[in-house]
Amino acid sequence: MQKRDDRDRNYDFGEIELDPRLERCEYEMKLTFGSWLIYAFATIGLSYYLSRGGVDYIHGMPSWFFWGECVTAFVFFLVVCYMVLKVFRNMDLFDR
Amino acid sequence: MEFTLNPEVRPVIVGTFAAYTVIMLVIGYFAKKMMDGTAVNRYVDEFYTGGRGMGALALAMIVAAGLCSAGTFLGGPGMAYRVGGTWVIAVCAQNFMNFLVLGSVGKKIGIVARRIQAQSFMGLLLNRYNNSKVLGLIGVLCIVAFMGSYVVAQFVGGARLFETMTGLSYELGLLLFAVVVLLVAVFGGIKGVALAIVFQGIVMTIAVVALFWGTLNHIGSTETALKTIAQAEPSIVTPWTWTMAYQASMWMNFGLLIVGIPHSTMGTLTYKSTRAMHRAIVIGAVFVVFWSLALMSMGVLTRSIYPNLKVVDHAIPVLTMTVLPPWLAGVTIAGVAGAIQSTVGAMIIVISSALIKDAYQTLINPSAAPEKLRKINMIATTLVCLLTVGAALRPPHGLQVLVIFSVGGLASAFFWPLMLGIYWMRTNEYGAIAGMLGGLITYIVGAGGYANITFGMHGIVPAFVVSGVLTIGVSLMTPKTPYGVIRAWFGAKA
Repeated sequence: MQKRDDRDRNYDFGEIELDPRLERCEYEMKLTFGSWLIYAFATIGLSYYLSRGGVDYIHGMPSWFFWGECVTAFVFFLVVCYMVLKVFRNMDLFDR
Repeated sequence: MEFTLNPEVRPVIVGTFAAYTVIMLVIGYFAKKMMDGTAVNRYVDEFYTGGRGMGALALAMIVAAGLCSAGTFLGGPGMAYRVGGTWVIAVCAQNFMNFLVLGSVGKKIGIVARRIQAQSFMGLLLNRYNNSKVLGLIGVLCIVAFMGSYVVAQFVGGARLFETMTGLSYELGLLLFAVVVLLVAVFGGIKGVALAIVFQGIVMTIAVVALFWGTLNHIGSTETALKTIAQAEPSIVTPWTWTMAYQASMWMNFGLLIVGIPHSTMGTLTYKSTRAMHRAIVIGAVFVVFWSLALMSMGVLTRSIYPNLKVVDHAIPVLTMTVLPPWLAGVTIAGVAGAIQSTVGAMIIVISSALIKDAYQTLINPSAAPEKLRKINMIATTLVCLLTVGAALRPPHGLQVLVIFSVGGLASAFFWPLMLGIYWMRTNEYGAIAGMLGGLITYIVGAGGYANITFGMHGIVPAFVVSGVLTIGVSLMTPKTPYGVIRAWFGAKA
């Protein structure tokens, strides 16, 4: 196959041989945004749901704050630890 | 209630703060020594990326402490004092900022930046977008105008706090802040900032721990305190002060869009290995979750001690003076100073890299000799520092307007061009330029209230939509990005 000029703007993306590391990065990006959105919905949803009729207290704080902020943050922290240390892959940052 | 300070405790606070400043100056001195030993031809690389050798703790703090500024330590708790629980929820959006930034773009930028030898945020975008001069100009202008004004505002906040707490003059406070930042950032580059930021992060954490513990001791039962607050002002203890739609848009603003902000993404250029990056995500989460939750709840709890503060930004300083012994209060003030200085340091590096690397080297004089580059870099970084301090001495008219728009403006201009540029081959410079301008203009119109386009949400939402649609739409209507660029950003290295 003839070599393409780097400045060529008329080509097919299929001609490019993809880097598996970079494809993996895209997958991890989707995981990051996906899981974060769940965290966002959980926090906002729980906080608003638990306080819809009025505020009651647990452990000295409003129950919506305990479940919606403290517990969700703790649970998501565990999720993040698991994802980052077990699911995210270590890879060489250089082209070798 | 006005904020008054017992004159007897002032010397103690001054002493603690002076000790902190001396330590910072020593760190700055070491950073300078470190950079002095760098070979001339590696200087710029070391200055902006630390030779891509940062470890987990430094990276975690560059992202976390770089983003958490006076906003998290003064303004945020002030808002919690004024608005209450719903604001506390909004701030939780920033809890996992390290995860969002590093998890979404960190690894890919790590690989591509090494490949294309990018040393700055704009350098990445310029390479991806075919060295478009128009894009470069818009980007550099955005960074200089928005970040510059943000830096000025941080200096003003820091110096005012210094004035209030020590009784010494505003100008002296400004001078101390400026000398620390100048020494650390101008002479030490990103390495200096990293060294300082780790220490500042630790001081910030000690400050929050002390304040948290002191507050709980002082108040006794938080439940009683909150119930007392709720009796006078029921809206403080419920999330329903804001609608869920508005809350969700705040999460977009404080959470999702952080990825588009240059000084957080800058961290991705500096780390040494994926292992370090993974750990930085975990470390950052611990710190930011603790800072946000503790500081915002203290902002609310301040109401139970002082229900009628005139200046809500004084919530944390007032609380500090009430619940802590003077020397610990001094440490807390040092922690706030650390939050301000770390953000300012990181931002000054971004501003000067935009001016030197991107405006000067990439767009004006690509063949500049290393020695010349080093000199110009020094002069420009010093100038940025002096100009911002000068502006803080006498805050110009219109500064406040720029500050209000700064973070949202940066995010609405950069988020889509950055994300789509990294992960969608079809994005090109025309789309990116359209997306940047469209996002920016929509944000200013919406958030500025010039037209009612926000549908009861934060102004960032329409800007986000418009910018995304324009980036994709215009890209599809115009030619593909040149083959060589796409191969470097997506392809396997031949």
